[in-house]
Amino acid sequence: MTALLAPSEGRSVAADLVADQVTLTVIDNYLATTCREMGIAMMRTAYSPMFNESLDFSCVLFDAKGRLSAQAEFCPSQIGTIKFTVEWMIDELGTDVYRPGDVIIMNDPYRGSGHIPEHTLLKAVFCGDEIVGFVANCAHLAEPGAKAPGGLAGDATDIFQEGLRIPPLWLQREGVQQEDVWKIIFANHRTPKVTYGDLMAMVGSLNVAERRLNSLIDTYGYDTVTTATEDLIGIAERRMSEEIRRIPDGEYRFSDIIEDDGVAEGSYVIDCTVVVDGGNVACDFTGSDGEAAGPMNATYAVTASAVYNAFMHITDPTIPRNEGCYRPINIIAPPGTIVNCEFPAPLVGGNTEVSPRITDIIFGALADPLPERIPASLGGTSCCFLFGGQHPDTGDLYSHFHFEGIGWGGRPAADGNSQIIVINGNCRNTPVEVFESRYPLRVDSYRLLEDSGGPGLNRGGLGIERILTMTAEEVTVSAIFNRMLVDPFGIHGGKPGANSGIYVRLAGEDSWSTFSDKFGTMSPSKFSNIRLRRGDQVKIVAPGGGGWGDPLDRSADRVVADVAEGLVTAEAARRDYGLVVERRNGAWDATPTADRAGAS
Amino acid sequence: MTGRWIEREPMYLSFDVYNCAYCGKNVPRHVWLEDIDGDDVPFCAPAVADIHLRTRLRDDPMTRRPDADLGITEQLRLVRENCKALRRD
Repeated sequence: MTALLAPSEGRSVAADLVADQVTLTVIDNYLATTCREMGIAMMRTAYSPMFNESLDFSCVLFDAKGRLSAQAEFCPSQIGTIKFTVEWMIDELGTDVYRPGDVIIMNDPYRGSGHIPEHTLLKAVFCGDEIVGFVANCAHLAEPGAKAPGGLAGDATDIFQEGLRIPPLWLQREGVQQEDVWKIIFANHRTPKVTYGDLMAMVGSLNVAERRLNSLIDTYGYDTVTTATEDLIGIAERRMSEEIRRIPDGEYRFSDIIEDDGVAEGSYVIDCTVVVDGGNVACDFTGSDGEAAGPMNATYAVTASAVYNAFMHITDPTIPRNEGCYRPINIIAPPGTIVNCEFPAPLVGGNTEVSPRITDIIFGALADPLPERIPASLGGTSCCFLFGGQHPDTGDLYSHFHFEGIGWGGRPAADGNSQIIVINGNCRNTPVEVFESRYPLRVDSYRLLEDSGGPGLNRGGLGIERILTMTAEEVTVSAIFNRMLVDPFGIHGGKPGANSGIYVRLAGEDSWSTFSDKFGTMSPSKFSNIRLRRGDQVKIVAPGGGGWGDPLDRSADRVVADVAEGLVTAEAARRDYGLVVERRNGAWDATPTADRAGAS
Repeated sequence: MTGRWIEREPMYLSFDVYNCAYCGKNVPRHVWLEDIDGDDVPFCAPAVADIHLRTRLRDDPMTRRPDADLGITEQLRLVRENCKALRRD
């Protein structure tokens, strides 16, 4: 159980509370645990690997006023956007339209959702005739009915190519499924059975939360739960403000690039000024480039979510995750820009690529004022690889969204982690067994990529290389990658991490090509609906993280250990760390080069 | 202030998407339309439109206001205190 109040502020905060601290802590943990249990219910009952392997979902509770009261630690990009999604749903529908047993569905990015594949389900919880709260979850369906199987078309030119857009609709009324709505969804998804299983898993997850919330109210009474929720929101706001107050006041600016949009030539600058003023922070994206022609746009909710994500990473993780912890964090994202695109701009890559870039930009801006907390850039792409077709064994259509782990940035006190899903994901990638048992793809190799971590006092984490072979007559593939041209940056003298890549080798060929070279796609990293044949191979290269601090300051022992483990080659040890590392008579030996000797 | 509230009702016949011209947030249902140079510009609330006029448009002599030098966090504090869409309690 986590203590709610930080020791230094315990007395002053506690003095303002209505409920006692023990009750508050019990209720806070109960609410968060309920959200975790919602996720476990989905993981165990859903049909698709997106749910039961990748955990690409989030679960939240809202109070009767529509304020976020608790959430679990699932997918950060959804954790932030779902606040806006649910607020929109309640605003659009009103609070007086729900009946017990109703379930509302929505996935419209222009109503606060992250992107079309992410569907949100909402249910009002009743105590007698009165609404006592809302429960909601958001999950990424592997098939949203877009132009490309899997939904992430790297060359989409408007929102209509990205899937079936669902405004807030009743999926279930008073416990009865609304067949008309289900029929429309099934008619537009390539894999309706999987969609049915996944959406029903989400409904089941809401039922779990409804029971838990009612049980909590039965135990403590509605007034106590309401009062405790008010207190918890207040505590979270004050504690987050205290955390922000520890950042020196000032204006900090940083920018980075989305290298292309899959449709038109040219890159896009995202520019942010972070203004810290006492216990509040404002992140102003004025000056960022206009919206992209292709799907590399973020909605306001995605941008806000990415900013929240950055601050969640650098502040006290024990702060209750509710409405209050977001209040001191403010966002200005001018409409019509890459960080707040306007209807009907395509945007499916915003949630996978722009989101981590924004989080890195916030880190970059705060690198100097917070040197003890800020890491270097992570690989910064979800390495989205989509595929679909007709399964040769079953005849059924299949569709899947695979994302790859990347290297994370070197940290002030440690190396970056290797092969971890991007910072806005917190998900898991597709296991080898799932590739080979559910889909007609074989994993021929899957390994950490040596020298991909940016050199530094604390090295960036390593990316990976994976080679897949198509085992069906035809497999349709799509991709959205970034960091293929622009390096993941290092900080405080650290060097960049290695770039990403996605390559193809047709059956019988010896060498790898980019998809642009082989199929004429505008972008080598963003494309859709390329038809591969049996025996064709795809190579995914996930980027490494940037380095933190001067690599010449890294101890010889750590460099030797990296070489011994195959994470860094002897050549890179000499070039980047100034050490000649050799194995002599069964023992490793390191001799400084002139560069290193001169630097010390 | 020369503007008016509109309510998007019924929602299924409301095809426009409104972003607050100041902060950029999507505005779901109740939209404040401020008349700026003859155009209806959407905002979360009248107070937010006022802040926009006093700050973002401070270089425009037609709309310049005396307190154009409000700091950004002060602007946002005013927005939060006045904007129903951003604060629910």
